[in-house]
Amino acid sequence: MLALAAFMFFGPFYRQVMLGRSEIFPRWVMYSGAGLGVVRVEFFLEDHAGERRRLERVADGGAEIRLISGMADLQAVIRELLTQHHDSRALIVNAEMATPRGWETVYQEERFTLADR
Amino acid sequence: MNHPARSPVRALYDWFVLPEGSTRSLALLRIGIVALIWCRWASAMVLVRMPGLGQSVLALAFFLATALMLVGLWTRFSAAATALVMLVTYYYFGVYQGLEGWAKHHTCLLMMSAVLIALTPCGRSLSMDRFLAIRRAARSGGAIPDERGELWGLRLIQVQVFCVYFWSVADKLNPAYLSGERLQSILIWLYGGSGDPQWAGFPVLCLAMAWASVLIESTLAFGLFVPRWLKFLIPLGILLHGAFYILFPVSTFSLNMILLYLAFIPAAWLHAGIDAMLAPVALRGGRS
Repeated sequence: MLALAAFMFFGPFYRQVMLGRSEIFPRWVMYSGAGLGVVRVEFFLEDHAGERRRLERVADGGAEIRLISGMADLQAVIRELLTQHHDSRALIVNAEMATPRGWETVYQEERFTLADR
Repeated sequence: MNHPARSPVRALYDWFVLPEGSTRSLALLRIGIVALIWCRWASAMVLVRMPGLGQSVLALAFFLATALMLVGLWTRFSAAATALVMLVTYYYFGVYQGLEGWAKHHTCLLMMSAVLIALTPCGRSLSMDRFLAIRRAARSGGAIPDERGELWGLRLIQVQVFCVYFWSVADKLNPAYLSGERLQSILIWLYGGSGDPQWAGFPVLCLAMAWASVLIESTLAFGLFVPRWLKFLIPLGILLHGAFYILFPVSTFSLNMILLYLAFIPAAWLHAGIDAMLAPVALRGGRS
């Protein structure tokens, strides 16, 4: 009985504190890995007169700013938007990615042009 | 008069060993655990989905053992068989073979619940075993067996609930969670696109949810052991897990935790409560 109680208490200690990898022992870290890599992003288009406008969540032209996960996915969306808005001078991006330490900035006022496609 | 000091191990043991008591809470747990096992596993265990002989045997054992356990027939055997099936499901197919979705938090809790309830006399109430025992007693003129048994298994279930809350809170005690940022990314991942929610309340809501979850789970971890707090803490826990159930795809986890609260209600209270509910029926000669 005490052995089972010890398994229930010290199993998670081994997994969560000592970072043991054996899955024989339980751990209670619900949703700790969920949403990692998710990117939250703001896109702005700059026209040739230097005017800037924000691309809304459902962007002009019907292209939705969908859920973006990871840098490769973000770069694919940037290329997609540059193609769609080829008449603009630049696409300006602010982006943060979810990490175990919280949001981390990946682009701060980063400018992309058609040449970056 | 001085009493010799008890060793910590002896004190822990004495705390663990609950006195004998009513087995009705064990019976309710038995029935609820089978219901949750079916919710999670029954559709996954139908033979057409079993890729090999090993899993087909497991599936047949699953349905036989859980059905017997639900009605409380040969309960010692059927509960042990159900626990064994859950252990094989979780460790062999989930952990060892790595089948997707078979070794998750909610399946682990369900497996632990099945193992722990199998260690108890959960068939002495609300069961076919009891019905047959009463009939035997009536035929032989013997005494009707009491609905009583050893309750140390209830204490193990309490420890399991404590461990879930304790280690879950331990996992949340970091700046990313307590600032609400981890919840923001989880909610965006589940509900939104990567266009950040534009309403100003979103970060504040996530901050409040993060602190509320940590404070409530910490309180439940320790407070559920205090019987006079149960009338506040059980509704609070149900609200917390209800919110989790509605917001996040947690499968059987929330309902499993709520079900295990039964282990904290003193067995005598629960027995008397069921008697009180059934009394009007008894007064009318058993007709509902």
